[in-house]
Amino acid sequence: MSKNSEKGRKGELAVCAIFSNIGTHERNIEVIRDNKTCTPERGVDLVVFCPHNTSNKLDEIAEKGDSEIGLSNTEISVRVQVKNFSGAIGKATMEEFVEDSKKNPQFAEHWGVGGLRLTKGAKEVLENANKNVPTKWYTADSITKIQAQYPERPFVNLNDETPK
Amino acid sequence: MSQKLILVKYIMEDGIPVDETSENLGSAYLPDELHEAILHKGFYSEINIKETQGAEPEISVIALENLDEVINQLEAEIFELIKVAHIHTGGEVHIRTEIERDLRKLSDALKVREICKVKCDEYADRPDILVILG
Repeated sequence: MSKNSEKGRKGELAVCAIFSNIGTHERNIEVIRDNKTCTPERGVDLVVFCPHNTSNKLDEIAEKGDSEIGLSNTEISVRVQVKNFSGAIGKATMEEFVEDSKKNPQFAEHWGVGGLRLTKGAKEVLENANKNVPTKWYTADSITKIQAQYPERPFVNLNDETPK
Repeated sequence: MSQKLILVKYIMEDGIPVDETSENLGSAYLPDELHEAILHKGFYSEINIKETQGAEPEISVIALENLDEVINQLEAEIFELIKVAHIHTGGEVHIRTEIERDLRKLSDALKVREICKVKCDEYADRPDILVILG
Protein backbone atom coordinates (compact mmCIF):
# COMPACT_ATOMS: atom_id res chain seq x y z
CA MET A 1 0.00 0.00 0.00
CA SER A 2 1.37 3.40 -0.90
CA LYS A 3 1.71 5.53 2.22
CA ASN A 4 4.27 7.79 0.64
CA SER A 5 3.36 10.17 -2.15
CA GLU A 6 7.05 10.27 -3.23
CA LYS A 7 6.71 6.55 -3.96
CA GLY A 8 3.75 7.36 -6.17
CA ARG A 9 5.71 9.99 -8.08
CA LYS A 10 8.64 7.63 -8.65
CA GLY A 11 6.34 4.78 -9.68
CA GLU A 12 4.58 6.89 -12.27
CA LEU A 13 7.86 8.18 -13.73
CA ALA A 14 9.32 4.65 -13.81
CA VAL A 15 6.32 3.21 -15.66
CA CYS A 16 6.48 6.12 -18.10
CA ALA A 17 10.15 5.24 -18.74
CA ILE A 18 9.41 1.51 -19.15
CA PHE A 19 6.67 2.04 -21.76
CA SER A 20 8.76 4.73 -23.48
CA ASN A 21 11.63 2.25 -23.66
CA ILE A 22 9.36 -0.34 -25.29
CA GLY A 23 8.77 2.37 -27.91
CA THR A 24 12.49 2.30 -28.76
CA HIS A 25 12.15 -1.42 -29.58
CA GLU A 26 8.71 -1.51 -31.20
CA ARG A 27 7.18 0.78 -33.79
CA ASN A 28 4.13 2.95 -33.15
CA ILE A 29 4.29 3.18 -29.36
CA GLU A 30 4.00 6.65 -27.85
CA VAL A 31 3.63 7.62 -24.20
CA ILE A 32 1.85 10.81 -23.15
CA ARG A 33 1.81 12.43 -19.71
CA ASP A 34 -0.72 15.21 -19.34
CA ASN A 35 0.07 16.33 -15.82
CA LYS A 36 2.70 16.39 -13.10
CA THR A 37 2.68 13.28 -10.93
CA CYS A 38 1.23 15.23 -7.97
CA THR A 39 -2.01 16.01 -9.82
CA PRO A 40 -5.05 13.74 -9.42
CA GLU A 41 -5.59 12.81 -13.07
CA ARG A 42 -9.01 11.18 -12.74
CA GLY A 43 -7.32 7.81 -13.09
CA VAL A 44 -5.36 8.72 -16.21
CA ASP A 45 -1.72 8.71 -15.09
CA LEU A 46 -0.37 7.98 -18.58
CA VAL A 47 -1.82 7.55 -22.05
CA VAL A 48 -0.15 5.01 -24.31
CA PHE A 49 -0.82 4.98 -28.04
CA CYS A 50 0.10 1.55 -29.34
CA PRO A 51 -0.85 -1.27 -31.73
CA HIS A 52 -4.17 -2.82 -30.72
CA ASN A 53 -2.67 -6.20 -29.79
CA THR A 54 0.11 -4.79 -27.57
CA SER A 55 -1.49 -6.01 -24.35
CA ASN A 56 -1.79 -9.53 -25.80
CA LYS A 57 1.97 -9.49 -26.32
CA LEU A 58 2.63 -8.01 -22.87
CA ASP A 59 0.32 -10.64 -21.31
CA GLU A 60 2.32 -13.41 -22.99
CA ILE A 61 5.62 -11.90 -21.83
CA ALA A 62 4.22 -11.58 -18.30
CA GLU A 63 3.17 -15.23 -18.38
CA LYS A 64 6.00 -16.93 -20.30
CA GLY A 65 8.85 -14.43 -20.24
CA ASP A 66 8.80 -13.79 -24.00
CA SER A 67 6.48 -13.52 -26.98
CA GLU A 68 6.65 -13.92 -30.74
CA ILE A 69 3.40 -12.02 -31.34
CA GLY A 70 3.88 -9.43 -34.09
CA LEU A 71 2.29 -6.06 -33.44
CA SER A 72 -0.46 -4.85 -35.74
CA ASN A 73 -0.69 -1.56 -37.61
CA THR A 74 -4.00 -0.59 -35.99
CA GLU A 75 -3.42 1.95 -33.23
CA ILE A 76 -5.45 2.35 -30.05
CA SER A 77 -5.19 4.61 -27.00
CA VAL A 78 -4.76 3.08 -23.57
CA ARG A 79 -5.32 4.57 -20.11
CA VAL A 80 -2.58 3.58 -17.67
CA GLN A 81 -2.94 3.92 -13.92
CA VAL A 82 0.03 3.34 -11.63
CA LYS A 83 -0.20 2.14 -8.04
CA ASN A 84 3.27 1.89 -6.55
CA PHE A 85 2.15 -0.38 -3.70
CA SER A 86 4.64 -2.62 -1.92
CA GLY A 87 1.98 -5.19 -1.02
CA ALA A 88 -1.07 -6.74 -2.63
CA ILE A 89 -3.67 -4.82 -4.62
CA GLY A 90 -6.98 -5.36 -2.83
CA LYS A 91 -10.55 -5.60 -4.07
CA ALA A 92 -11.49 -2.02 -3.04
CA THR A 93 -8.59 -0.51 -5.00
CA MET A 94 -9.39 -2.66 -8.05
CA GLU A 95 -13.06 -1.61 -7.89
CA GLU A 96 -11.93 2.02 -8.10
CA PHE A 97 -9.60 1.27 -11.04
CA VAL A 98 -12.54 -0.28 -12.89
CA GLU A 99 -14.80 2.66 -11.91
CA ASP A 100 -12.24 5.01 -13.47
CA SER A 101 -12.45 2.95 -16.69
CA LYS A 102 -16.17 3.77 -16.88
CA LYS A 103 -15.36 7.47 -16.39
CA ASN A 104 -12.87 7.35 -19.26
CA PRO A 105 -14.72 5.54 -22.08
CA GLN A 106 -12.63 7.30 -24.73
CA PHE A 107 -9.86 4.73 -24.17
CA ALA A 108 -9.87 1.34 -25.91
CA GLU A 109 -8.05 -0.42 -23.08
CA HIS A 110 -7.22 0.19 -19.42
CA TRP A 111 -3.97 -1.02 -17.85
CA GLY A 112 -3.12 -0.93 -14.17
CA VAL A 113 0.47 -1.29 -12.98
CA GLY A 114 1.78 -2.04 -9.51
CA GLY A 115 1.60 -4.18 -6.40
CA LEU A 116 3.28 -7.49 -5.75
CA ARG A 117 0.10 -9.43 -6.52
CA LEU A 118 -3.67 -9.17 -6.69
CA THR A 119 -5.94 -10.51 -3.97
CA LYS A 120 -8.59 -13.08 -4.92
CA GLY A 121 -11.28 -10.39 -4.71
CA ALA A 122 -9.26 -8.01 -6.90
CA LYS A 123 -8.73 -10.75 -9.53
CA GLU A 124 -12.48 -11.40 -9.70
CA VAL A 125 -13.24 -7.69 -10.18
CA LEU A 126 -10.60 -7.50 -12.94
CA GLU A 127 -11.92 -10.61 -14.72
CA ASN A 128 -15.47 -9.26 -14.71
CA ALA A 129 -14.34 -5.85 -16.03
CA ASN A 130 -12.31 -7.54 -18.77
CA LYS A 131 -15.51 -9.08 -20.18
CA ASN A 132 -16.73 -5.58 -21.14
CA VAL A 133 -13.55 -3.74 -22.15
CA PRO A 134 -9.93 -4.96 -22.22
CA THR A 135 -8.78 -4.27 -18.65
CA LYS A 136 -5.37 -5.56 -17.60
CA TRP A 137 -3.18 -5.39 -14.52
CA TYR A 138 0.60 -5.78 -14.56
CA THR A 139 2.14 -6.53 -11.15
CA ALA A 140 5.78 -5.89 -10.24
CA ASP A 141 6.70 -9.42 -11.37
CA SER A 142 5.03 -8.92 -14.77
CA ILE A 143 6.79 -5.58 -15.22
CA THR A 144 10.15 -7.20 -14.38
CA LYS A 145 9.60 -9.76 -17.17
CA ILE A 146 8.54 -7.02 -19.61
CA GLN A 147 11.65 -5.00 -18.73
CA ALA A 148 13.83 -8.08 -19.33
CA GLN A 149 12.25 -8.55 -22.75
CA TYR A 150 12.80 -4.89 -23.63
CA PRO A 151 16.17 -3.92 -22.09
CA GLU A 152 17.12 -0.26 -21.98
CA ARG A 153 19.05 0.77 -25.08
CA PRO A 154 22.09 3.03 -24.67
CA PHE A 155 21.36 6.39 -26.29
CA VAL A 156 24.47 6.19 -28.50
CA ASN A 157 23.21 2.90 -29.99
CA LEU A 158 19.58 3.90 -30.51
CA ASN A 159 19.93 4.08 -34.28
CA ASP A 160 21.89 0.84 -34.71
CA GLU A 161 18.78 -1.26 -35.24
CA THR A 162 15.51 -0.54 -36.87
CA PRO A 163 12.67 -1.00 -34.36
CA LYS A 164 10.68 -4.22 -34.77
CA MET B 1 -0.64 9.21 -9.36
CA SER B 2 -4.38 8.98 -8.85
CA GLN B 3 -4.53 8.21 -5.14
CA LYS B 4 -8.00 7.86 -3.68
CA LEU B 5 -9.72 7.82 -0.33
CA ILE B 6 -12.22 4.98 -0.32
CA LEU B 7 -15.04 4.42 2.16
CA VAL B 8 -15.23 0.63 2.36
CA LYS B 9 -17.62 -1.72 4.13
CA TYR B 10 -16.24 -5.17 5.01
CA ILE B 11 -17.70 -8.31 6.49
CA MET B 12 -15.69 -9.04 9.63
CA GLU B 13 -14.35 -12.41 10.72
CA ASP B 14 -13.10 -12.61 14.31
CA GLY B 15 -13.06 -8.80 14.35
CA ILE B 16 -10.87 -8.58 11.22
CA PRO B 17 -12.08 -7.20 7.85
CA VAL B 18 -12.09 -9.63 4.91
CA ASP B 19 -10.88 -8.19 1.57
CA GLU B 20 -13.04 -10.33 -0.72
CA THR B 21 -16.20 -9.15 1.07
CA SER B 22 -15.44 -5.44 0.59
CA GLU B 23 -18.04 -3.08 -0.80
CA ASN B 24 -17.09 0.47 -1.78
CA LEU B 25 -19.57 3.00 -0.39
CA GLY B 26 -17.85 6.07 -1.83
CA SER B 27 -14.53 7.47 -2.97
CA ALA B 28 -12.71 10.70 -3.73
CA TYR B 29 -9.47 11.58 -5.48
CA LEU B 30 -6.92 12.62 -2.89
CA PRO B 31 -4.90 15.75 -3.77
CA ASP B 32 -1.19 15.26 -3.16
CA GLU B 33 -0.97 18.03 -0.53
CA LEU B 34 -3.69 16.36 1.52
CA HIS B 35 -2.06 12.97 1.06
CA GLU B 36 1.23 14.40 2.37
CA ALA B 37 -0.52 16.09 5.31
CA ILE B 38 -2.34 12.90 6.33
CA LEU B 39 0.90 10.91 6.23
CA HIS B 40 3.10 13.58 7.79
CA LYS B 41 0.74 14.09 10.73
CA GLY B 42 0.23 10.37 11.23
CA PHE B 43 -3.55 10.42 10.72
CA TYR B 44 -3.55 6.76 9.69
CA SER B 45 -2.78 3.26 10.86
CA GLU B 46 -1.51 0.32 8.87
CA ILE B 47 -3.70 -2.69 9.52
CA ASN B 48 -3.66 -6.23 8.20
CA ILE B 49 -6.90 -7.67 6.87
CA LYS B 50 -7.77 -11.16 5.65
CA GLU B 51 -7.72 -11.90 1.92
CA THR B 52 -10.53 -14.45 2.22
CA GLN B 53 -12.60 -15.90 5.02
CA GLY B 54 -10.47 -18.31 7.05
CA ALA B 55 -7.18 -16.81 5.84
CA GLU B 56 -4.49 -15.23 7.99
CA PRO B 57 -4.59 -11.40 8.14
CA GLU B 58 -1.75 -10.62 5.72
CA ILE B 59 -3.13 -7.94 3.41
CA SER B 60 -1.83 -4.52 4.43
CA VAL B 61 -4.26 -1.60 4.30
CA ILE B 62 -3.76 2.07 5.25
CA ALA B 63 -6.84 3.20 7.20
CA LEU B 64 -7.38 6.84 8.19
CA GLU B 65 -7.62 7.74 11.87
CA ASN B 66 -8.28 10.98 13.78
CA LEU B 67 -10.85 11.91 11.16
CA ASP B 68 -11.97 14.96 13.15
CA GLU B 69 -8.44 16.32 12.78
CA VAL B 70 -8.35 15.41 9.09
CA ILE B 71 -11.63 17.28 8.60
CA ASN B 72 -10.25 20.34 10.45
CA GLN B 73 -7.21 20.27 8.17
CA LEU B 74 -9.43 19.90 5.11
CA GLU B 75 -11.67 22.78 6.10
CA ALA B 76 -8.67 25.07 6.60
CA GLU B 77 -7.50 24.04 3.13
CA ILE B 78 -10.97 24.61 1.65
CA PHE B 79 -11.17 28.13 3.12
CA GLU B 80 -7.75 28.93 1.64
CA LEU B 81 -8.90 27.65 -1.75
CA ILE B 82 -11.99 29.86 -1.53
CA LYS B 83 -9.78 32.88 -0.77
CA VAL B 84 -7.59 32.11 -3.79
CA ALA B 85 -10.64 31.66 -6.01
CA HIS B 86 -12.01 34.97 -4.72
CA ILE B 87 -8.75 36.72 -5.66
CA HIS B 88 -8.86 35.13 -9.14
CA THR B 89 -12.46 36.25 -9.69
CA GLY B 90 -12.32 39.61 -7.89
CA GLY B 91 -10.66 41.61 -10.66
CA GLU B 92 -11.81 42.60 -14.11
CA VAL B 93 -9.77 39.95 -15.87
CA HIS B 94 -10.83 36.35 -15.33
CA ILE B 95 -8.38 33.72 -16.55
CA ARG B 96 -10.41 30.67 -17.43
CA THR B 97 -7.62 28.13 -16.73
CA GLU B 98 -6.99 29.60 -13.26
CA ILE B 99 -10.68 29.51 -12.39
CA GLU B 100 -10.97 25.96 -13.71
CA ARG B 101 -8.01 24.88 -11.57
CA ASP B 102 -9.45 26.61 -8.48
CA LEU B 103 -12.83 24.96 -8.91
CA ARG B 104 -11.32 21.53 -9.52
CA LYS B 105 -9.15 21.76 -6.39
CA LEU B 106 -12.14 22.93 -4.38
CA SER B 107 -14.30 20.13 -5.74
CA ASP B 108 -11.64 17.50 -4.88
CA ALA B 109 -11.21 18.83 -1.33
CA LEU B 110 -14.99 18.94 -0.76
CA LYS B 111 -15.40 15.34 -1.95
CA VAL B 112 -12.60 14.17 0.37
CA ARG B 113 -14.28 16.03 3.24
CA GLU B 114 -17.60 14.40 2.40
CA ILE B 115 -16.07 10.89 2.59
CA CYS B 116 -14.55 11.70 6.00
CA LYS B 117 -17.78 13.29 7.24
CA VAL B 118 -19.87 10.26 6.27
CA LYS B 119 -17.56 7.98 8.25
CA CYS B 120 -17.59 10.38 11.25
CA ASP B 121 -21.29 11.19 11.25
CA GLU B 122 -22.88 7.91 10.15
CA TYR B 123 -20.37 5.13 10.82
CA ALA B 124 -18.24 6.36 13.74
CA ASP B 125 -18.96 3.24 15.80
CA ARG B 126 -18.68 0.80 12.87
CA PRO B 127 -15.25 -0.93 12.80
CA ASP B 128 -16.40 -2.79 9.67
CA ILE B 129 -16.53 0.50 7.73
CA LEU B 130 -13.15 2.10 7.08
CA VAL B 131 -11.72 5.00 5.11
CA ILE B 132 -8.67 3.56 3.32
CA LEU B 133 -6.02 4.82 0.89
CA GLY B 134 -6.26 3.04 -2.42
